[in-house]
Amino acid sequence: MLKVKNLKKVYQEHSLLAIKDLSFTVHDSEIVMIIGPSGCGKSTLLNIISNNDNNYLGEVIFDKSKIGYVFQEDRLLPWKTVEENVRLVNMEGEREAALKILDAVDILPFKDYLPKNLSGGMRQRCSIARALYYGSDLLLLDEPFKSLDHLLRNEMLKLIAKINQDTNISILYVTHDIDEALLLADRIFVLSKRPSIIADDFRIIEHPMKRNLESPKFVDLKNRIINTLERP
Amino acid sequence: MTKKYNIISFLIIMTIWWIGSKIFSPLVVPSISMVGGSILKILSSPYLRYQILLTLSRLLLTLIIANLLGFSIGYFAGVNQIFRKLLKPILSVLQVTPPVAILIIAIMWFGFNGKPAIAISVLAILPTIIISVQEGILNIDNKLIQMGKTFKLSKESIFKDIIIPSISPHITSGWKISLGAACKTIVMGEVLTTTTGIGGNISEARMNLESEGVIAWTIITIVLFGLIDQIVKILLNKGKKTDAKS
Ligand SMILES: Nc1ncnc2c1ncn2[C@@H]1O[C@H](COP(=O)(O)OP(=O)(O)O)[C@@H](O)[C@H]1O
Ligand SMILES: [Mg+2]
Repeated sequence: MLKVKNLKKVYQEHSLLAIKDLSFTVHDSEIVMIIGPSGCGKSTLLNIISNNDNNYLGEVIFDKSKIGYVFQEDRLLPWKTVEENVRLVNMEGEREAALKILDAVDILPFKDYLPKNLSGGMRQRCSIARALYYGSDLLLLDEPFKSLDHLLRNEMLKLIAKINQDTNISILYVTHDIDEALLLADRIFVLSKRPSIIADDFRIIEHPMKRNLESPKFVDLKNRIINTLERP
Repeated sequence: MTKKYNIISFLIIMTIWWIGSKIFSPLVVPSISMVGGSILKILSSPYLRYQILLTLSRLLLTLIIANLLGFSIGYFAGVNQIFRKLLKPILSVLQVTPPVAILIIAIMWFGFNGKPAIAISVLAILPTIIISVQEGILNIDNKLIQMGKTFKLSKESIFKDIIIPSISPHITSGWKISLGAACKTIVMGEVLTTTTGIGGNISEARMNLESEGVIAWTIITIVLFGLIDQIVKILLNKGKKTDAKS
């Protein structure tokens, strides 16, 4: 379980209040999606949760140890191949397992490529494979499928849903794409513009990836989210 | 193709030399055969071969000292902004100071032996090494380090897999530049301050009016340093490739 309580974040050097007051919980094996406009503090939030930024007020409690992070930029090591990049984070792990994950994200044929010879979408999938191979209890994803085409993005969303079901890993997924959230989330938090607070939250009980976004219920949900986002 | 031009260019130079040796006295332009004989004499004499080794060992010592100093200073300049700012004007001055000016001071300190040659050679390449190490450290991508910490990589792994590959391109290019400079200044320093080593023997030959000796030593030096340069470049490039693969 991840618990964030009264989180406040100021970027001191620019005296910029990025996050005003955030409280939420991600339960075990839950998929929580956070939607918010660009620049509202989503990456900031994930950096704090992943312990990359200790300079904040409030509380962040995580009762397990391993947090996997799919960064907004791929952050692959340019001098290592796809396979090496993935295996680096779990040197004791079995090679077979790494190859299986590369296959699942559909870049196995490119395992010996250096990142610079891959497309943006392939690099991002490599970065996802890395986080999965790490064996996380909580997976943080920062707009991971931005540079993927529609079809591939759906495949990836399905993969995330499947992994969540098979392994009970909790997922905190940040995006500004409402459809992604409607397809995958157990719970959606909508953030306000900066300084961010939670403007609204929605619970969805239908099985992830088996939802019809054209159905009246989801059309209505989408409209409510858009309204919340557009609120001044 | 380039091989063909290399050979033609070589033949042209030999022809000009041959014509020159017909026109001028042997003291000004010694004949090709005199110089060839002189080269053979040098290479067959154990004492003179030892002189070559002496220069090479001075070169090695230069590189060791310059790298020890360069890495420590460059490291601190990379991690400490104040130190970097203080160092900058010193490096700028050092980079435009003619080696000969330093040589005079070095002779006053060390006397007429091989040491001033080593001293100026070290000073000639030190700025390059300091700057390349400093730039390497400044260019480490903090986001990659964060990635390493997020995935709980060991300290050794962060050093070996992230830090070293980040800075090594800067350091190898610094090495490539400084090697040539070190070779040139070490011989120059020897010419001016000692009778031993390659430079010392060049200056001896000059004083004995043996122009063929001067040219013979010069040719040996060029071939020797050319070889070293090639070998080092091949080794450095090899290192780069294994980095990329392993
Ligand atoms: N290191 C930083 N220093 C100062 N301001 C920053 C820094 N990182 C982000 N910000 C600012 O904080 C706000 C939130 O940024 P970010 O968390 O990246 O937004 P998002 O991921 O939601 O697009 C933005 O206004 C951004 O300019
Ligand atoms: Mg962001």
